[in-house]
Amino acid sequence: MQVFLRQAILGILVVLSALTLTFILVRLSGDPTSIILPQDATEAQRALLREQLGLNQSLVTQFLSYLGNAVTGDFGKSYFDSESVTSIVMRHLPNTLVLAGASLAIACLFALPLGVMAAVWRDGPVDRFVQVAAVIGASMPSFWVGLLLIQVFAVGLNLFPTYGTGSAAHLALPALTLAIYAFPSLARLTRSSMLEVLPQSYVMAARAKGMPESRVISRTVLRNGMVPVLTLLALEIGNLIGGAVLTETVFAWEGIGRLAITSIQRRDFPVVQGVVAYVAVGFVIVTFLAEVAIRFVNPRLRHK
Amino acid sequence: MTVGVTLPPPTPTLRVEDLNVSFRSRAGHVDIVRGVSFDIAKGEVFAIIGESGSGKSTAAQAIMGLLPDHARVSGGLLLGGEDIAHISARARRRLLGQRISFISQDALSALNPCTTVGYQIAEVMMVHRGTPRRQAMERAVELLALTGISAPEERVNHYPHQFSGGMRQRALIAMALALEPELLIADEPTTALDATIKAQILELLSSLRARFGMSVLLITHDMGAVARLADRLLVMYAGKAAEVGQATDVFAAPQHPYTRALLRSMPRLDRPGEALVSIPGSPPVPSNPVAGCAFHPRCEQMGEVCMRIAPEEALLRDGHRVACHFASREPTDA
Repeated sequence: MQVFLRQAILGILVVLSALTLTFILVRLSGDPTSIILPQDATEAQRALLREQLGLNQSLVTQFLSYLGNAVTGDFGKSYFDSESVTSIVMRHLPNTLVLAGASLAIACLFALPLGVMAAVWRDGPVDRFVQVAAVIGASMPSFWVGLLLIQVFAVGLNLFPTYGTGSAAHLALPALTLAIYAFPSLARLTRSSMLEVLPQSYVMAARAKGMPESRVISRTVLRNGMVPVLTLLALEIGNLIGGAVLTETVFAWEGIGRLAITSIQRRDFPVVQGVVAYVAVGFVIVTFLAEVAIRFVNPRLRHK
Repeated sequence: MTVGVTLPPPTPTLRVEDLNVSFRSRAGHVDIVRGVSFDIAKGEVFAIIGESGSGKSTAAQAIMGLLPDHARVSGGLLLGGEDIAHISARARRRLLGQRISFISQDALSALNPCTTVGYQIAEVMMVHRGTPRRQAMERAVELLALTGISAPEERVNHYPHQFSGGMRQRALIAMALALEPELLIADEPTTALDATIKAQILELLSSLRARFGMSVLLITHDMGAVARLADRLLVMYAGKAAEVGQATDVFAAPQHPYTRALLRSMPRLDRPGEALVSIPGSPPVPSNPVAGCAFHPRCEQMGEVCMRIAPEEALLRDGHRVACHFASREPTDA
C-alpha cells in the first residue's frame, strides 16, 4: 500500500513538472500574435490580442491561473477556433489509442513468442533471425520505415491508402511502422530475461518433477521472466501515446502527436499545454498499472 | 551345505553400471564421471560423498537424464530392473516426479518464486495423475503436515519467500514425496541449513524413508550426514569411485587413503580436543586430469606405481570395493 502511495505522489510530481516545463517552453517559442495576426497588423492590434489571450499578465499570474484551471481539467480554448482544449484532445485521443493499441498488439504478437523461442533455442535459426531483425528494426528511424511502407504497400502494391485516418486500412501502415519501432527492444528484452531465468535451479527442479517442457517454459520461465518485459511494455505504451509524433505526421493520422506538432507550429499555447498534460497523466496511469501488474506476477514484490 | 532353490538376489531399486559423463568444451571432451557403478537396494540410503567438483552431482543429474545437451552420457541405468538410460524424453518425464524424485541443496532457488508452495506440490499430482486441483491442494496440506510444517492449511497458500530455509527444505521434501517415489535423490539437502535445522531435516528424511519404504540417494560432502543416515556409501574422487561399502565397514576401517583423510577431517564429538586434519592440496581440475591414480599428488601413501597406473576397483568383502594399489594388498581390520 505504501508503495502505491509513493507511486501516486511521484506521479503527481511528474505531471506537475510536465505542466511547468511546457508552460515555460511554449513561451520560449515566440509570440503567438505574430502567427495569429497578419504580418501587417499594427502594434496596437497585437497588444489588444495579447490582452484578450491573457498574455500581457505577468508570467507568475499566468502560471498560477493556468495551474488552477488545469487542476479542474480546464485547459482553456484554442487560440484559433475557440474550441475547448479538452474537447480537441478528446477528439484526437481515441485515434492515438487505437494506433498505439494496434501497433503494440502487433509488436507483442511477434516479439514475445520470437523472444521466447530465441532464448529456448539459443544460437539456433530463430535466435539468429531475432538478433538480425532487432538490429535492422532498431537502426531504421520510424519516419523512414513509414515512407518505405507507403512506397511499397500503398504506392507500389496499392494495398492500403497512403495517409489519412478512419478505416482499418488506414490503420495498417502506421500501426506496422510503430510495431517495427517497438519490436527490437521488446524481442531482445524478452530473450535476455528468459535467458536469465532458464539456468535457475527452480527450472531444473520443475524438470526434475517431470513437468512437460512446454509447461516448464510457460509456467516457470515465462512467469519469472515477464517482470522486466512488463516494465518495458509500460514504457512503450507511454512512448506510443506521446511519441508517435513522427509516424502520425507521416501518415497524417489525426492523433495526439500530430495535434501537438501542428499546435506547436501555430504557437497554440493552450492546446500544446493540454496535450502534454493529458499525455503526462496517461503515462503516469500506465506506469502505475504496470506496477500493479508486476506485483501480480511477482509475489515477492507484493509482500515487500 | 544346504541344497535347494537359490533365490536370485532381489532387484535393486537402482543399478548404475559403468556410468560415464563427459562435457563437450572448447578444449575437447572433459570427463566428469568416469566409470562409476553401484546398486541401491530397496529401502536403502546410499550416499555418494565427495568434494565439490568430484562429479557427484553430475552423476545424479545423469541418472535423472537432466544434463544439458552438450553432455555425453554412457553406461547402464536400471530402475527396478527397467532400462532408463535409453528411453524417450517423454518416458523419462513420466518417471521423474513419480518414480524418481529430487531435492536439491538450495531450497529457495529450487522453488518457483512466482507460485505458491502448495501449488508447486499439487502440480506434481495434477500433471502426473490428473488429480483435480482441489484434491491435489488438500493432499499438499497433508504432505506439508507430514514433513512437520505447522499450520499447513495456511502455509499451503504462501509463497517460497515467506518460508524460512528449513521450511523450504521441508516443502521440497513434501513435493518429492507427493507420488511416493521408489527413489529419492537428495543433492546436498542440508548444505544451506544451520546445524539444528540440518539435524531435523536428516531426522525427517530418515523417518520418511522408513515410512514410505523408498530408497534414498544422498549426495553430500558432509560426513556427519552420512554417518547419521547412510546404509552404504560411495566415496567419489575426480569422477571415480575410490571406495564403496557398508557405511559401518567404511567408517570402521576405511581402505582408501582419501576416505581416511575425509574421516580425519570430520569433527568428532566423541574425541574432543583432537585436531582436525585437512587434506593438503586440491582436487584435480577435470579439464586437466592427473595421470595414474587421480589422488596420488595428495596421497600420504603414494608409491611409484600410483603415478603411472590408475588402480582398478578391487572387491574386498561384503561388497566393500576400493580403488587403491595399496589397499588391495593390505588386508582389512586395522
